[in-house]
Amino acid sequence: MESLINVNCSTIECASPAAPIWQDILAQAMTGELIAAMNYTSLSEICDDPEEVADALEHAEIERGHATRFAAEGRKIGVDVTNNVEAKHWTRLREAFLRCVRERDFIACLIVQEIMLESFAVASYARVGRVAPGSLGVTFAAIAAEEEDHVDHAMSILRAERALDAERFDEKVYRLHLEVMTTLAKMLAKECKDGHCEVCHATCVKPALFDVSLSAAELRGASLQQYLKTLDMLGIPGEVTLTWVAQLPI
Amino acid sequence: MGGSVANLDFALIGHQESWRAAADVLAVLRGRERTRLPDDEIRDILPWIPPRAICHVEVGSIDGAKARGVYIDSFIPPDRLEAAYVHENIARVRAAADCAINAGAKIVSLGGFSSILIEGNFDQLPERKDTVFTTGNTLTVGFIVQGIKKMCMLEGRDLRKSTLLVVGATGDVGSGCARCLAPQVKACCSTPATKPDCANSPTNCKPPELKYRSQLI
Repeated sequence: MESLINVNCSTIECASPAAPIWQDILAQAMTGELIAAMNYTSLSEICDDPEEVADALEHAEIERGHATRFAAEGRKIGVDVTNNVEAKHWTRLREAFLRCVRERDFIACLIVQEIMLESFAVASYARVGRVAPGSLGVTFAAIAAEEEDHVDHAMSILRAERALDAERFDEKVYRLHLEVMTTLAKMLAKECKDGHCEVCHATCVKPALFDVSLSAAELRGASLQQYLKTLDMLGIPGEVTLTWVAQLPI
Repeated sequence: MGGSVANLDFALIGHQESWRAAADVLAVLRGRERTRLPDDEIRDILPWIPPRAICHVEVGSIDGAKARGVYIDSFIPPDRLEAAYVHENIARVRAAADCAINAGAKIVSLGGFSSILIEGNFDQLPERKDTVFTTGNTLTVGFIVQGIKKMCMLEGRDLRKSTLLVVGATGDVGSGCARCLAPQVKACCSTPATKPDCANSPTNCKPPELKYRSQLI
């Protein structure tokens, strides 16, 4: 069941030349958090254990909290942070997750959300956190750390699952990699070759990232690095995962 | 590198020496059916790849012995070999060494720049359990020392009563030879291969002067 997401943000006149850039970065982050909240809510619907249901709903609430914090940071710098959970790339990612839900594949859901989407979030928020000014940077860094913390629990579940049948587990991860990481790779590409992402409020923000000491290449590199390291921690052979990543669309 | 492989005889740690070589590696990983990555994309992506195994290697000798190993690339970017990147590169070699240790390799050879970074500074490497680290220079020193001992035996000379002269003793191989043999000879003389100003005027180079001699008591 999809919940209606509504985060109200009042419009305030932009205060600095970099504000529109941060506005788009916050919009992507906020959209990602809301997608995560939707995913955890959907995950709760296939959990059998009441504790797992509570855990999933708690995660959903935490992600909604992250979205609210991003919106608040936008207000502080004088921008209205919009979100678009129906933007084309985010829709594909959401659909990939919902397929796992329909198949009642709890492990696949964890792989998509905790390994793939969270790697992207942890890495890109951490980079933004280093360069963003004031409380904006503090918030991004703090949320990056929080996201990294709650991956640990999922990692132990996934490692245990892999220990039962490594070959089958790795095949599942690869199948999901093809579906999810291909879409993430397009989102992280240096240029949006598939047209407007439908989240940036005007033109694509990627060329302007240099003005705030960021770049699409850096965000992509950091995300892929985090993803590879996370797969390493799962125990999947490094030469295998390197081939997966090398074959992503650039 | 994730996963551990039991019974690995060796691991080789290295890096690509040119962007062309790096592009070739990535092209193989991408497969023939995919277009090669443009140079700018490779320069953007390669530095972010954590050290990991690229391929498995199996070698055999003419008498039938086989050894199984892996090649681990540290992904040091070809244009970041200067001193400014030494800390970053040492971290990469450490991570590559971790891969080798976790893979269960009995012996690990540090190749290329990774050997330069770590030579004489093996304390920079992670805790090694049963894994032994070496370099190409170490192998060369080993062969030289072995050769000198064999030659002395053939010539009927007693190393303990001999004076050893090492020309080029400030280099990696020369200093290694001096360290190995000095405790085994009567006296050890060492000298650099060339005088420092020969770097600018090689035609005026003169034979080096004997710098010092040490004598075991």
